[in-house]
Amino acid sequence: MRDPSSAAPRRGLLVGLALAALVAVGCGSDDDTGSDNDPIRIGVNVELSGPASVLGNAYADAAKLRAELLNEQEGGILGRPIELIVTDNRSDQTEALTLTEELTDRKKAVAMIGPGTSPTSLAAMGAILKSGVPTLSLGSAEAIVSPAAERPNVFKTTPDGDVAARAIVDDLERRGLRRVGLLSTNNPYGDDGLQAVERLAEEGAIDLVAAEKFEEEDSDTTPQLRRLLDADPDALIVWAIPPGAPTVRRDAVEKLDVDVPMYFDSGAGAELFLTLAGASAHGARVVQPRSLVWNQVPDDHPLAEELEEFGNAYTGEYGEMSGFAGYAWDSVGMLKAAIESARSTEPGAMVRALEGLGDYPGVSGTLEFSPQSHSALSADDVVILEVRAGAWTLPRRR
Amino acid sequence: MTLLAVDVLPLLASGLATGAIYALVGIGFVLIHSVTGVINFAQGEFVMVGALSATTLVATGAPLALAFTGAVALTAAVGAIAERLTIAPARGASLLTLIIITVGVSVTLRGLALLIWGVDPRSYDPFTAGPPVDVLGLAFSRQSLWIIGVSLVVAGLLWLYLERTVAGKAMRACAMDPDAARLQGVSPSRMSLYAFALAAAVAGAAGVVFVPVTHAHYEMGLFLAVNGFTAAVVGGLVSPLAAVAGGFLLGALEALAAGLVSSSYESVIAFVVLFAVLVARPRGVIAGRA
Repeated sequence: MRDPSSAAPRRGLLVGLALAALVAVGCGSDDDTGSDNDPIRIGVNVELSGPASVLGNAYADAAKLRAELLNEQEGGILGRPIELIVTDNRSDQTEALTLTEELTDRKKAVAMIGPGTSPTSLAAMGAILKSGVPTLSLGSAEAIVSPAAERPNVFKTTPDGDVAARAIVDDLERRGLRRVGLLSTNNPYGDDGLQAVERLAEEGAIDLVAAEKFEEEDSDTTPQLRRLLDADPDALIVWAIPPGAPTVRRDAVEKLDVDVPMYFDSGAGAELFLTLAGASAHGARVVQPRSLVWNQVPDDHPLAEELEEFGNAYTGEYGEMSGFAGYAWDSVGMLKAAIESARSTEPGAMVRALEGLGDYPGVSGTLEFSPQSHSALSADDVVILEVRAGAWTLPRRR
Repeated sequence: MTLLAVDVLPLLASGLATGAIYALVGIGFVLIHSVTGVINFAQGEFVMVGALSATTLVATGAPLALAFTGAVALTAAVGAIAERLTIAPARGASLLTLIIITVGVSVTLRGLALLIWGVDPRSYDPFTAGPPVDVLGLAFSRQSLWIIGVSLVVAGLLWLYLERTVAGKAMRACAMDPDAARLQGVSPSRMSLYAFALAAAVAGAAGVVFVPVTHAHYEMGLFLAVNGFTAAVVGGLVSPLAAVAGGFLLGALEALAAGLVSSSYESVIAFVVLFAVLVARPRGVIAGRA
């Protein structure tokens, strides 16, 4: 049987077709004997189509590339090749749940990467917990992994809402901006950001003078922006992914001539934000791990080597860097480290290994899980970037 | 009054631009329906073809005027080819069959767009850069003015074509009575081809001006088709000008719902209006074919 992950075409419906073919050929060979040369199967459950396809395709691309390189350069995991089973949940919550069952049960994946957004991850939670298969979600909402006691086998390599909100508020404080208006998407991801910002406001770090929600697919967000501006904020925070995030930016700049600084959560930070927001992107700020600006990180940074390897490999293969790619890249690497440390693909042993990995040098930062915290990134791992001359730019002083 | 001026009027301003897009899509529905009796479910996909091909032309560095005419011409060609390949061979089939064929056309176009342009949305900058412009005390983004302007020009040109040219009159004659028209030497088949090409061209123009406001995406057609169809139905599906009015009305209603209540309701407005019109004035739809 051919390696289905390398046979799967890269995008959209084709992946679905390949999946169908894979289901057809996969039925006869589902027994996982775990012998020495059998591939280690990792399910990838991401949004290759639908509203979140920008994230999902970057995730799939990065995971495939990492697995390919690890197979070539390090002989896979424990001498067994990594076999990624890449599937498309179409940004659909029910599909994310169904695919989770299929990957963990029929496809006998020893671990799963994804789902790629907060709504799809939370929707699939029942099946993830029931399967017990170690899962590295790429959604960002804290509720995906917290409390750890109720999410024993669920981890995530993305920054929490709290981490991103803290970084934004630090930047606001440095600039002496207090009055903040927040615009968030009306889903669990946006709510996570809303709660994080509200908590910081309660601590007195900022004054949240207005908060509005919008739907991810809205084509016009001026009504909400207008209400926020009525409250006379010093700065706006936007909690959205593309295409919603760049739509907000365009509406603010082109329709309302907004001149207060606008901060975007890490979800907005793909190259697609720049493409879709065009000239209006100039001056927008975003919270990001350093992976997006891998080639601007100083050489003496502790992760400079990892970032360079990742950046060269990803841009060499796909052209442009994506703000989302790093999370999936790290997820594959962490699973390899955990399986090698456990010397087993038994779920319980893998979970304990993930919790005990210590500081893992990733491209999103220094990742660390513990039995109490299944979220790997901390405030040190993210920076505020600004759009300068059509590119995300790392401020010099960091 | 103060409340009205402060809250409602700015909302209407942003609703006008989206309404103008619905109007252009609605015109396409009316054109095809009045000439052939078919509800063309691929109308939204024509907008998508115009929008995506314009993003490609703009990305290759083509000047805006060229990108605009190129995308409109290409979309018109797609409309004409679709008619020749699918509707023309099925001449004589029931209306329902023809309508289902247009559903097939829409799915096919969406699939082709996915293969050609991929899943990522695309966009380009507004036609003219700069801060919003004040018109009668309301702030309009420059692209909104472009959209409203282009839609009014297109509607005006179309009116001139249908009322003042022989070809346009032949098309209307075909809509009124195909048999009588044929006796006068007008070919209903040819008119059907013209209607599809013209409707596609109008949709293509809508796509090109709409891109900078949102973005172009292979799945953008359905939403536009639903709203454009509603605009056409509000106008009774017979008159392009009534469809324009329906489009502006729908855009305004959506903006008010989003602004005064919640944007969660924005997307259901079209369905509510469609439902209300179909229940309250079903003849407005059925009487479409005179």
